[in-house]
Amino acid sequence: MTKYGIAIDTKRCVACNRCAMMCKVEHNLPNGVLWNRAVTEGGDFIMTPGGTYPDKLSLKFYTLSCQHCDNPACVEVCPTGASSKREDGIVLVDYEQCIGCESCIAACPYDGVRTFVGDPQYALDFKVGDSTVLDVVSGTVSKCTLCVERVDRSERPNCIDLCFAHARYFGDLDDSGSEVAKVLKERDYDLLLPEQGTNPNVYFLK
Amino acid sequence: MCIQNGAGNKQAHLNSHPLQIDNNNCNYNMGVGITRFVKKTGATVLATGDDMAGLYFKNFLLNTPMNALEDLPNAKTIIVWGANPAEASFTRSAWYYICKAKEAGANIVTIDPLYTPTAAHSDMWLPIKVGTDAALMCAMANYIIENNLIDEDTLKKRSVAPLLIKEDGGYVRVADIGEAPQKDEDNLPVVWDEATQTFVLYTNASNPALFGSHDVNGQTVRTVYEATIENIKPFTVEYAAAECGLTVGQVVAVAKMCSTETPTTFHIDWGIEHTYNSWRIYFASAFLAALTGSVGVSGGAYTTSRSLGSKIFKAPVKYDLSCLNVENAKTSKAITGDYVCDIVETGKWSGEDFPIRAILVQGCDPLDNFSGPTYLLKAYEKVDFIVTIELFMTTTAHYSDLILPAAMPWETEDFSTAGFMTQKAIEPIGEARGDFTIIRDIAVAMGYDDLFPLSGEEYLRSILDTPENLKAGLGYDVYHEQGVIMGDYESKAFASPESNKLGLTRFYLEELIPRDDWGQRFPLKDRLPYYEKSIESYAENQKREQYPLYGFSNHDNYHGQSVWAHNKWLDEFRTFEGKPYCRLHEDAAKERGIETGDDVRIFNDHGSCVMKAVVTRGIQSESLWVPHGFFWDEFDEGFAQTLTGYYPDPVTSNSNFNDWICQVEKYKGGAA
Repeated sequence: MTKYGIAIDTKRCVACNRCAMMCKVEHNLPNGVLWNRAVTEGGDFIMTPGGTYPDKLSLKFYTLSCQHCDNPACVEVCPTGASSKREDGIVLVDYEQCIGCESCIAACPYDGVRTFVGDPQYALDFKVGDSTVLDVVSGTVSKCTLCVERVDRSERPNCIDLCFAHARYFGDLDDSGSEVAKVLKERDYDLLLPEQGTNPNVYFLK
Repeated sequence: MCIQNGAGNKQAHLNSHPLQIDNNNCNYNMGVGITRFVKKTGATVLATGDDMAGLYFKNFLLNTPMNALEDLPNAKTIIVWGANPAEASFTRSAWYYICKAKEAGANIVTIDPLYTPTAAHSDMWLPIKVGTDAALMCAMANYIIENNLIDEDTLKKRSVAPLLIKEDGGYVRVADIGEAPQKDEDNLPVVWDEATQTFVLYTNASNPALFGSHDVNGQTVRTVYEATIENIKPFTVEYAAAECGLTVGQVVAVAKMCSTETPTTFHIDWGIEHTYNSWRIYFASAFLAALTGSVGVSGGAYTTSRSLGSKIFKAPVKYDLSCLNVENAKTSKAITGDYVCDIVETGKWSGEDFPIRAILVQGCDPLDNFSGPTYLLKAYEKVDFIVTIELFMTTTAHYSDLILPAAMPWETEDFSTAGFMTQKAIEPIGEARGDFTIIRDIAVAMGYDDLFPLSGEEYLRSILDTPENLKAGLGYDVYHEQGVIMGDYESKAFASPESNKLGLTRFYLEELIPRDDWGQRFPLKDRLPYYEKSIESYAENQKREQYPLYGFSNHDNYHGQSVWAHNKWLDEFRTFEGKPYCRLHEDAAKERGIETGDDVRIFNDHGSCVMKAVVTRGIQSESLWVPHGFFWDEFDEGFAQTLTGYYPDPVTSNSNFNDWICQVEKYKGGAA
């Protein structure tokens, strides 16, 4: 059974947001909408460390987007069935069925991975990205699609290919030969908020 | 008329490989258009001062060898110094290889006033005060020597350490101790061989003496090594700790590590060469390389590499540059453009009258990027006519008399010396034209009807369609069609030895010719490793009573010089609620009642700027970081570059934009 997942090497990630920007371009996202974004943990503001100055400072780096959970809270609460999980694990929102009730935003433990698109404004007056990608729709919720348009033609999501640190892995978690399965065998990892019980499929290599 | 050129002209003379005919976004050469125009008119070329300390020393004076980036995983210790490969635009290709090194167990040390992502991923971060790096290097050298941690083989056999210096600064050579060789090029240096107790050709000595003076033709000569040790004597570990704002423990730790946990790569980039005396680090780092064996071996290097060992696409085999020849060509001067400040004030350059009436700015943005735009702008206001060829409304364009809109790379065909054609996809918008077309049209308007007898395409053909290129299938037609021609991927983790005539790592120069030469020469102490404080950014500067903080900037993640200004997508990541921000230490912030999100005014004698503040522990505690790359109109008041001073140094004419002190205060009660 195919089950797509991602692994992010927090020892290589530098929170540069290139993957976030690539995603924005690929999917022609409006101003203020990001499906993926870099996060740092340490101080109060991005890139500010925690710990003591000067030689016990610490800063953790990773990116945050939809975790494509096994038990997605969003799918459970969605009143119209707009949020659904494919057989291969990808969780998607069908814009035509979505009524913008934002129940999924309330239910999802991962703050910020999905956005309610109100009145979309764009920085450019022409579209960019993959021509097969559906435009976000005003009054609906949008989030990471695991680049379903690319996966369906046997390519990896753009954020995986672009990373200059080679910090991102993608593939079928149930295929022991996939690069993501292999790296998970070799490395220790964390999950985000496992106690919430959604069984996320994004792994953070330590 | 003067032509202010950008990173386009990195040497003090006309670049010898000007290939591009459309010189958008300044690419390391001046192009057919500018080259022919300059030769015809004798116009002065104002070269950039940007990164000149590094470029002049690394590329010209010392030819510092570079290892492939793919070689980084072979290092046991990597000292990342004045470099930020995890973040800095233009240098990120090294990061993956540094990760591989780390994963193989290498030590990673970052020396930087800012706790960058590179520092965060390192084993050790040394929060050094900006501009004090040569002191740390000299102290490390002293520690290595005093504790017998020297790589004797490299020092004796592969560096200038045992060579002998005469009173005039030249090496003792074969002709000084006996018969002059027939050919001048065979008049090579000699050393004192401990094994034979005689002078021998340096390549033949089995045990070259590191110490010792001798009498040669009535002169006392001594080894470079002895002269070096004397020169760096004051810069002890304790001195450096105090000067650099570090602990003795930190200095000792990094000295020990780089000399005992080898091979060591000193991953040194431009970050440490933006202060008045920073050019000295090139002597000091070469000395560290000689002491630790960090040169020409797998995992051992004393500079960053820009060149990946991998090849992906096919560059032409041979160019024909005869189209750059102009009949009765005039001689031009080349001067570092920063000196316009002095020239306009005095009306003179190097003792001659030098009235500047017009400046054509191409491939650069001086007011956003040079050091001391406050002074440069005053000078520009005295020049009759400033014309700028530009893509964007940069601060320079904003203050120009005339803007000639340039074309984007996809609006005009051109060939890059990197080995590919930028292809034309659409016609230029509005009145925009490619640089070649602009220069040709200016030439015609000036009466030089026959300066450009060929079209752009014909020039490119004349350059590219050599027999060698056509035979290899790499002529104009192929590049026109394909743009990039892919080859087979090869990757080599090469390590480069010294390529200078002596084949030695040089931390001494017999002569130091300055980049802009008005007759100044430099004594022995300036031609060896040494440390001198910055011209403004130093602890004892009286002005620190008013301006106590050490200011600096860097190549951050979201800017590339001033090329990516006014970008809404990037602003989402690089601003605080839409405004640029500075970074200061929480101690400095607390003293001033400043919190993250406050509006603050940063100021000194050069200029001022209002922006947001971000308070952090991740910065040298008496330092203040400002962003580089925003245009003047992206700030509420002032602009950040005005905080920099006008301080080109007399050796390299470097744009020393990290040599300033400042004060910061909350602005108008400044709540976020």
